[in-house]
Amino acid sequence: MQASHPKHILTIDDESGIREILREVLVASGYRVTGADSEEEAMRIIRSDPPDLIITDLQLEEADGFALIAHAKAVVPKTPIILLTGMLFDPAVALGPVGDMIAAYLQKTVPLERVLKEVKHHLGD
Amino acid sequence: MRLIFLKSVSARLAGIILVLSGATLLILTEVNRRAVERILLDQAQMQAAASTAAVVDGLDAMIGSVERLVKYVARDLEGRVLDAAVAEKIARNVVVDNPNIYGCSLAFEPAALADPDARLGVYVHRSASPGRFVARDLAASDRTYWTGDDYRAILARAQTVWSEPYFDRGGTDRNVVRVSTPVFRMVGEDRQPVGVVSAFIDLDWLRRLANVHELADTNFTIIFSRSGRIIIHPKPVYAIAETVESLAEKDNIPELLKIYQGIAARRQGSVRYTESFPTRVVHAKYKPAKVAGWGVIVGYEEAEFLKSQRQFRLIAAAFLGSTLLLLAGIVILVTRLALRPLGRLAAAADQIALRNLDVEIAPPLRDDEIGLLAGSFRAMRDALKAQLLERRWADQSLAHQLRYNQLIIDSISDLVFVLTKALNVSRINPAVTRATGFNAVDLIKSPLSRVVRLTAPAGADFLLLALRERRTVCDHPAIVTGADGAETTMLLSLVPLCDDGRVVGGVVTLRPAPVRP
Repeated sequence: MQASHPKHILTIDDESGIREILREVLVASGYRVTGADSEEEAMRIIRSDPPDLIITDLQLEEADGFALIAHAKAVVPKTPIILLTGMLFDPAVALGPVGDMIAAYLQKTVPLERVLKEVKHHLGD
Repeated sequence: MRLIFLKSVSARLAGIILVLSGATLLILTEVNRRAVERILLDQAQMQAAASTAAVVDGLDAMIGSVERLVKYVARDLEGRVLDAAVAEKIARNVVVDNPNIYGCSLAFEPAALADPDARLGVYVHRSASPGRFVARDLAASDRTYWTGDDYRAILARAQTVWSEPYFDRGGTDRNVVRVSTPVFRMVGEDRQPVGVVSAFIDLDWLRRLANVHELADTNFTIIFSRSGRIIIHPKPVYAIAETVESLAEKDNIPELLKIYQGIAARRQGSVRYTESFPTRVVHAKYKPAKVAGWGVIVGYEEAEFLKSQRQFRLIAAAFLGSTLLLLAGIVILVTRLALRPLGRLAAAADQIALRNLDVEIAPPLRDDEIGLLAGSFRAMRDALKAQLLERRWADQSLAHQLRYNQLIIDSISDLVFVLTKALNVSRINPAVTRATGFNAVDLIKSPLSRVVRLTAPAGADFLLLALRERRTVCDHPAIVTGADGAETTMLLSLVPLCDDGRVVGGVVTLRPAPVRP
């Protein structure tokens, strides 16, 4: 639990349902969560309120997920990024193009518990 | 709210505890009451027996002394020469010397006197004025004691006789009882009764003596003569006027007859009876006096001896009621305090049943079962919440995948037919509609052969056999017939659809045949 100074997690997805579920489970675990549905909003948050961890989708409505990851890494290079996508790749395939920039690749079909476990792992909780 | 409370565990628990403890206390109180009553009544019986014995002993001592004195005087007179002055002096001395005697008389036959024709009779009794005496001449011309039955009967019986109680009219003018004994003298060779000495006992005086030994406020003493005539009674008007038998009938107390019979048989005992007006239970001890054949009854009202115990019973009842009320209050307070969290948990459970998983469940502050239950409820709610989130996550994930798959399929420019095992169309992609003019409604459930047929040399069952044998078909020439009847040559590929190792259908894709130069 992050009672006094909760760690900040930024979730980037163009589907509000995804963001809402992630927010609920992460807030319940004691994290502070902000959400963005576009690259523009995500970058604004990253600059104004640097997150401790980023969870992002790959297929965004008005942006390219790969580019977004690169832009974010340029601003917060030490912030771990979890790629959470519905595009089903072989992990090796997914990690190929952005393997040096993301901390983990998760398919959206994994249980939330797994997502939470990955988040805690990369935040050292 | 009140009804809800009555249905609550605390109310039922309080009710059960109250009923059980109340019944127990009532039983204990009743047992105790009976035991105390028995002890008190036993004590009363003992006191009554002692009181009766004391009254009888006192009575015997008093009337016995009177009887002995009368006999002594009579004996003393046997050899004396008497005249009126001497006789009066003797009678006066008897009264003066004995406070129990109200009056004394001496009366003689002529044979006892010097003058055979003379009469001698004196009667000295106390006056209404204290310390004064009245002397009466029984031989006066207006007196005829020598013919009176009370005189003659004594001479005839030649022994000491106790009279019935009577009103001494013309004498003391009060209720008295008299003891008389004959005076003997030798007449010739015979010892004959020649006179009578009598002593008179005032019944009021007797009453005072009898009531010295008061057992209780309600106790009473009855003294009756050998014949049953009332001598002393709490109601003075009954003296002389009534007998034991008449009282038994008048007051409807047959037990009095039993007492009378007991006294007549010189027995002592006790009886318990109920008087009607006013209603009261009376215990009566009875004992015969040794002198005069009298009977003595000492009675007391049962309620008087139980009065203190009954007062205590009221106090005990008040205490019992207060205790039960206090107990009820404590039980209700404690149980409500203990069980109130259960009500909140029940309300939370209702909210959870309505899918409100954000319902507030206070963290357990107690280590008892209620606290553990509250902790379990919180854990259950959190688990349900997590499960629901997982489900929502899985649902959106599935919807997301389906949507993407559909998008991918729809984006393919080749014609895609999804087939059942019988080669009926179950799904098509938009490219089919664009190429043939048929939409999904036209083709779903229709055989693939409606729009596609293989060119020779394949037989009619070529594709069916390929599905059964789980073979793929690749780029086989086929003719596609559009809705307008136009035919187009294309290359057909078939991939069997397998689910859990079984063929459930197939996917046919058609792409334009390359134009040969």
